[in-house]
Amino acid sequence: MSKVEPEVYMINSGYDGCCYVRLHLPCIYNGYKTDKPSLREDKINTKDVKHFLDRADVVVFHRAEEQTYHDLAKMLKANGKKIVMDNDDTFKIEGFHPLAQFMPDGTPQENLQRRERNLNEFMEMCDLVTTSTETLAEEYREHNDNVVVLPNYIDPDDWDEPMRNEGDKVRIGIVGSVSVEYDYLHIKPLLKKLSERNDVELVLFGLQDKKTRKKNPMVSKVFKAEYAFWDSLNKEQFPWVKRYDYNERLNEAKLDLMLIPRRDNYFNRCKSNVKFLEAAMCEIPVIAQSFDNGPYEELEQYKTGVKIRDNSTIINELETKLEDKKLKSTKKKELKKLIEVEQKKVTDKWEEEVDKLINDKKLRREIGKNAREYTIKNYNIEDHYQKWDNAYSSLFKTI
Amino acid sequence: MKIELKNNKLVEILTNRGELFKQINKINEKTKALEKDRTKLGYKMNKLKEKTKAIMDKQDFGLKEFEIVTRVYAEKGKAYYEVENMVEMYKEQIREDIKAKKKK
Repeated sequence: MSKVEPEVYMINSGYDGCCYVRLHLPCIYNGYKTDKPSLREDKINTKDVKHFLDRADVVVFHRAEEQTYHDLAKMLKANGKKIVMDNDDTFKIEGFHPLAQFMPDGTPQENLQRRERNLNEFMEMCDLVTTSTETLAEEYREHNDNVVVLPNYIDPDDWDEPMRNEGDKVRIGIVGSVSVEYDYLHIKPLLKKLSERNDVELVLFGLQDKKTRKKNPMVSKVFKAEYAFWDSLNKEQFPWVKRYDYNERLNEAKLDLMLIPRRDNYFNRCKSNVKFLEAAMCEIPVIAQSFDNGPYEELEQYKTGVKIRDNSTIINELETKLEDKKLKSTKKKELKKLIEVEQKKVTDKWEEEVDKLINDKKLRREIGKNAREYTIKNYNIEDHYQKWDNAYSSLFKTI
Repeated sequence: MKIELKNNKLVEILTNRGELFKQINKINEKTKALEKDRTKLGYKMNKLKEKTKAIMDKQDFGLKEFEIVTRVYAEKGKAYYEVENMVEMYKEQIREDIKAKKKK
């Protein structure tokens, strides 16, 4: 029996986010055709698309939330093609979350429920669904029995030699979505303190700069509180960049330490470890929040990173109890006190670990180097690209 | 139902066809594999083009008005770039068009 090697065609939803790791890297290493063959490509050659769609045995759609994708997929399926959807985010977002209204780049979410419904319907017609984490796979299995986890990988070729901060101050960064997804709230006092320290340079890599904000007042309104907080800090800011500039810019930021304070919630349990992988490629040690099924559980304490156990579940339980209107005022006071204690516990732990790394350059360097070695050893796309071929071949009977 | 057709000429033709079919299939497989390899190389070429662009975008070439960088290349371990004046290029194009018209 020999393995069937189907021709695969991949349809992107853009390269300014996860499409790069989800589609572009597998394309490069497996030789699949795609509608966007390079990061800077902004024009699609429709003749090529038609030609390669005709030839393809398997057509992969990334995050097929629009009706046009549905129509195309139905037509292709009727012509005998196998349909696959890939996605690496959940659309089950709590209402308070800014992403429920806007994407980090300011694109309106429009109707989140409609998009989620479309995705679910699309998955139901698929022959295979692929995703990055087991938590997401479980979510998608409600809509398709054939879900395969294909983790996110990195291409070492995309990364230059890690750049070093030669200055006297320790550069501490918060990068990307962490700065807009309410993940940093519990370390706000710490961020404030860091911004005031003489031996630290706080770096924010994310959010829009003031000029861009003015162009989009609706987004500014939604992120008003966050902008106000970040604006009040003494910091250096690298605004959002295009995907093709991201790796270089992250390296140029010359961070000595990256903070990933994601709290334990469903959205974050769906997250992959890609932020850690990117930091690791620049030899930036990370301090990350730890919780069951969290994205950073694989970090080995003080070897490849630093983990701080999250206590959101306890705080949430206490807050739920507090909502009980029948509670006596003494009990309420008691609960409030307990919440404060728990909140302080995690904030203090963050301060402790950050301080430890600020004061220990040798440890920072060791963790950074180990993290890069670990990432190249375990997450190099060159060693794992066959997983895509295996998943697609499984859709065909062996001959 | 399988029935034998006694015709030696037909046996020879069909056997030859079978052989050719196998050979064509082998070539098809090789072509497919080569095309896949070419696609992979194409992607890698795109990546290198993007890396080149990232470096070139950061350079200050001190270009004068109407000047552009038309080529960047490596030669004997050194990198070079070529600058052209767009106005001169346009003039040259017009000259060639006039020449071509005169010939007609």
